[in-house]
Amino acid sequence: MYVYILGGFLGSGKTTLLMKLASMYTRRGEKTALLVNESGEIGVDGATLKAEGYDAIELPNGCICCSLSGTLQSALKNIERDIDPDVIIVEPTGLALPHKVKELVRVSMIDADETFIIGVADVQRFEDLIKKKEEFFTMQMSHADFVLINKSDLAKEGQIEEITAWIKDKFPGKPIIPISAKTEENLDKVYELMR
Amino acid sequence: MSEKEQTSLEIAGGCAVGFTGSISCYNADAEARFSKALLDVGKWVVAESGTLLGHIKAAIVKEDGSGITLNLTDLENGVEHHGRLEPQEKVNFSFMCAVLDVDEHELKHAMWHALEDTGLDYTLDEAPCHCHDHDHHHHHDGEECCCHDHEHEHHHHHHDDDDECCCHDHEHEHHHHHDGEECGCHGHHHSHGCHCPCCRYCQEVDLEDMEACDVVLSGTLSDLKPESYMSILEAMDAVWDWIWTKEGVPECVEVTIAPEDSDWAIITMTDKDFTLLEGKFPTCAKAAFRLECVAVGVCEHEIKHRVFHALEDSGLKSAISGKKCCCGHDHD
Repeated sequence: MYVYILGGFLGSGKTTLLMKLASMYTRRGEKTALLVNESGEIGVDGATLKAEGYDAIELPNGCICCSLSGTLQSALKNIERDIDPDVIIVEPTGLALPHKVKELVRVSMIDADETFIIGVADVQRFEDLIKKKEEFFTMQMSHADFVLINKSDLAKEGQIEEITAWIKDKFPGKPIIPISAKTEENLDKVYELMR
Repeated sequence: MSEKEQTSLEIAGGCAVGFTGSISCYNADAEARFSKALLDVGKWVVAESGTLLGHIKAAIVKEDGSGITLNLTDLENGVEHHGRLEPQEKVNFSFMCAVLDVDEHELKHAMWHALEDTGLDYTLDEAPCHCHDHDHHHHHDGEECCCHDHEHEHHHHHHDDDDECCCHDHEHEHHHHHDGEECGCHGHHHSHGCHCPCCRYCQEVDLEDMEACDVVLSGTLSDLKPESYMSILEAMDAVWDWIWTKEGVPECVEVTIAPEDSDWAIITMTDKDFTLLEGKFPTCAKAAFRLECVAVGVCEHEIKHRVFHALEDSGLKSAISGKKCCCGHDHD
């Protein structure tokens, strides 16, 4: 069983990517469990997934990397017991630190072969985010196994190159793929990187 | 996680708030109106923090959980709609917002007003008006107050129904009462020429020479629902209004609600248009309550009587402790 954690800021397109990844695994014939988390007491992502025909376990009202850490671990154990999936995709809140989630997966005693973090950056608001919350965004991306620059369909000229250069400078050697989860541009390259 | 360790939400400086509720007569127009509420909140966030770093989302679903979701992450892109939902007699909704660099309470306030401005026939699962939670609520000079547009017309402090309200037009747009702050406005008001027919200060009554009475009633409230909050406010309002009609001066009406298994809530009315809710209004089968009213220039016994009737008229299921009085009611 492989566990994928989608790490990225609020509104970076993690839920859209989650749906595409779930579809890809379903096409491959792999049993996939989705776990979504929202920091507000009101969960909406679960409904979004349901509206699109996906079924997911929703953990609202807190962050799974801190206040809901115990809930995450119980949920993972239950998923393993009740669903026994080939893949678990975890979407933490956009304000979570993915490396903390990864550590919680590690200590949750589930039989995971490997756990990966997929970092998701957002073309549209990259500049604003770096201006206002560079340190936080850097923390979010720091432990990613690879970084996706999402919403490439909305990128202005030179924007992708600029963001790529920034990430390369911060995290040399980390694979970077510009994608559009919405239009599915370059998603085949992402699938190749996934087990 | 140690107690002192910051949560990621705190590290990021973000906040996440939301409402749930239901909408009657849902159709495409209602969807468009809800979508506009998201946009309005988005604009508010941009005005407050300079940019929309975060998202504003809503799920509108049927009883079986199927339905649509709306998502706003960028004002230029507009609201994304996922799924399809045919017209329904009633749907449930979740409305949430997670963003950076705004005040959590003000965000909730903005969301509530955005929802209110849609004109949708909706009800919230929690106590609907949180204006009362906002001790920062005040009107700045030149700023238009939208609170008076919503349903809480009972906050308005004009007693003559035929009287047109001029308060919001006159020079005192900066008039506001902070919690616990004594209002000195009426003194100025009087010295600048009073136009208010109900102003006690204009009636040459030396209130300082009159003794304030402090009336306390306690008992139990049953079957507390979110809408009970409004019923309590209406009861408090009725007591306040009655004191004015008796030419007395109300100073404070306070209701403390103490459920057995959740935190207390205290609702304090220190002015006709200022009520503060401390704590979360509880929904429970039974809770003890205490109502205290401080007023000048009215009979203590009459206030008790009036409180009893206000509670009775509000539709709340209440039982007041104490012996029966001469009028037959169970209060001291």
